[in-house]
Amino acid sequence: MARYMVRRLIQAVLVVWGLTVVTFVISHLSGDPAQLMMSFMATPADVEQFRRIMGLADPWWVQYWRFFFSALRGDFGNSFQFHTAVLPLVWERLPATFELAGGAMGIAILAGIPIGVVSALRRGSVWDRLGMFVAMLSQSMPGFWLGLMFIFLFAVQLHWLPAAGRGGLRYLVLPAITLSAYSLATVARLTRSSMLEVLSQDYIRTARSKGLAETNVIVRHALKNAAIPVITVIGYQFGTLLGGAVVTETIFAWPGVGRLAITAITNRDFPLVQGVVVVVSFFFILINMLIDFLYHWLDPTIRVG
Amino acid sequence: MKMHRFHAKAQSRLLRRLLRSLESLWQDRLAMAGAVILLIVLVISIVPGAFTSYAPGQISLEDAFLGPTYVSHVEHPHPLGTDHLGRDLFSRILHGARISLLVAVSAVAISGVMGVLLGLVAGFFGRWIDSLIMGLSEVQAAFPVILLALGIVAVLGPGVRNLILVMAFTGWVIYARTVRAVTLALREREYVTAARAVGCRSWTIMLRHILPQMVGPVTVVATLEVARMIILESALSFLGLGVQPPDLSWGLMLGEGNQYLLTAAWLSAFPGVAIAATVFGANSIGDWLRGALDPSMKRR
Repeated sequence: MARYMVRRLIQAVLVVWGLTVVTFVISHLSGDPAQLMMSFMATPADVEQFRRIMGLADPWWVQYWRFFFSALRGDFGNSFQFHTAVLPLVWERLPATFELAGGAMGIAILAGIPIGVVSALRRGSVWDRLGMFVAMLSQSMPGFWLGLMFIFLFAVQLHWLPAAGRGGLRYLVLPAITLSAYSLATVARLTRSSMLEVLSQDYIRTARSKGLAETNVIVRHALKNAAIPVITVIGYQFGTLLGGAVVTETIFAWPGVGRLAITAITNRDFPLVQGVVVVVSFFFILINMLIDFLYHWLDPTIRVG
Repeated sequence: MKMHRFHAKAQSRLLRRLLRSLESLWQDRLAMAGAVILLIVLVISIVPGAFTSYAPGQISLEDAFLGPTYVSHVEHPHPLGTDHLGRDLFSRILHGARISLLVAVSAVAISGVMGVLLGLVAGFFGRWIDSLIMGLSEVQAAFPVILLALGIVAVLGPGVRNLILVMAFTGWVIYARTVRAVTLALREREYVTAARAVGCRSWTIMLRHILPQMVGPVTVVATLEVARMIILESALSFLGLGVQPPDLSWGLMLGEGNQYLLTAAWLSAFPGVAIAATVFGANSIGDWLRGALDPSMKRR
């Protein structure tokens, strides 16, 4: 286990390093930042001087090392549009995104697992078919469209819930449900198939033949084992939710990292884009790594090397 | 020669399995519905003009914001209503099918070829090249897809061609991983050892003996990827970073209609229905294929 963790950790460090390379390359393909940052009144000599001062005239590998070491210290430079350091900008938006993603995750688990279990236990019943049909349907709808329809129905027509902004539970409901739709369906479908597989195992028959109560068999023997793949996927869904938050936040004017990314991109604010991408991906990698550890800890059969 | 007969046999077995599966398509109502939907969308995307008398770009300002006929108070010939420029929504949805499908299918084709080749090479040769390719896939998987796509589009600029490139670039990993896993298993099979013993070269073995076995798993992945790509395209176009006017796609229509959500919700509703229906079609077919080609995966 320790060896596996060390290997996984080294791998994660390598991935983060790769991440800085990719963001660096992408932002340098985007053309000359000096031209972008300088006013259009600047003479070529001005631009040249600016470039020298900013170190943009150095060879690319010098620039990369500078970028890399500043990034290690959490310094991504200043945002073009806000004229302040990038990291605090991203940092102060993170709680909102985590609140949204966490809410969505909660909904996906609290609704998805029971739906999956019921579908598996009543296999072939109307509930099973209905549940799986709805799951398939919500995997097929673009999240942002679902969000728009929710806004129209619950905010515009019925005035039940606010359409935009953040501030307390009432504001969280619509965006969280919107963001959770896809993950909810994934969790429900996987729980169902995992339960079906476990229920057909010999040890379930043994448990039943021992005379254990059916709830006991289902909760302690079946669900516990069926949960392993489900937990893994839930973990990975959290990363997907972070990405999905980009669009959901835009629809609901939710003041999170995703919306920050969109404004940064539309304003060609490359330091900010870099900052958002690196920070979000960092959490993405961190979470995936923690899930892998959890997975290995839960399932002894895959504890190898 | 023997090798070829062996493969002809394997392939005819696959064909027979597919035929038997077609029977199961009849029984799987969800997949059947999916197939019908996809067929309709396909026909529409080929000849969108056959189902409407309006050109998608035909502007008529005095007809702006007409509601769909079933809610509208005035009588007019636009079944799904009109947008802010008085263009017929039904016609625009029909014509939007083409680019939405084209972008998704092209992205799937390009990323599929890329991913399959990389996965083959990684699985077959192993060693450092395997580590390199899988390492790349790790890095790529570490980026949330939409952020990666946004970042690249921000650099390349929006438009259909760049959109396809970006989406293709974000999609190769899943093929590479699938194909690598199968290749690893096949590499040790006797018939591969035999082919090597007769003196087949590595590339010959890979392309003639291993690649044909990938048809099943890759088809499944590709079908599900078409669904994912349609949604990705719509999201990027919706955000204004994908298809640009005067080109037309469902995501773009949603982005335009979004501004009038309060007064003309139909402009947002119907393009979304078109997307959801098409994606539903691709997803249900993908699920069915997975079950049909690999019975142990049935109904997951």
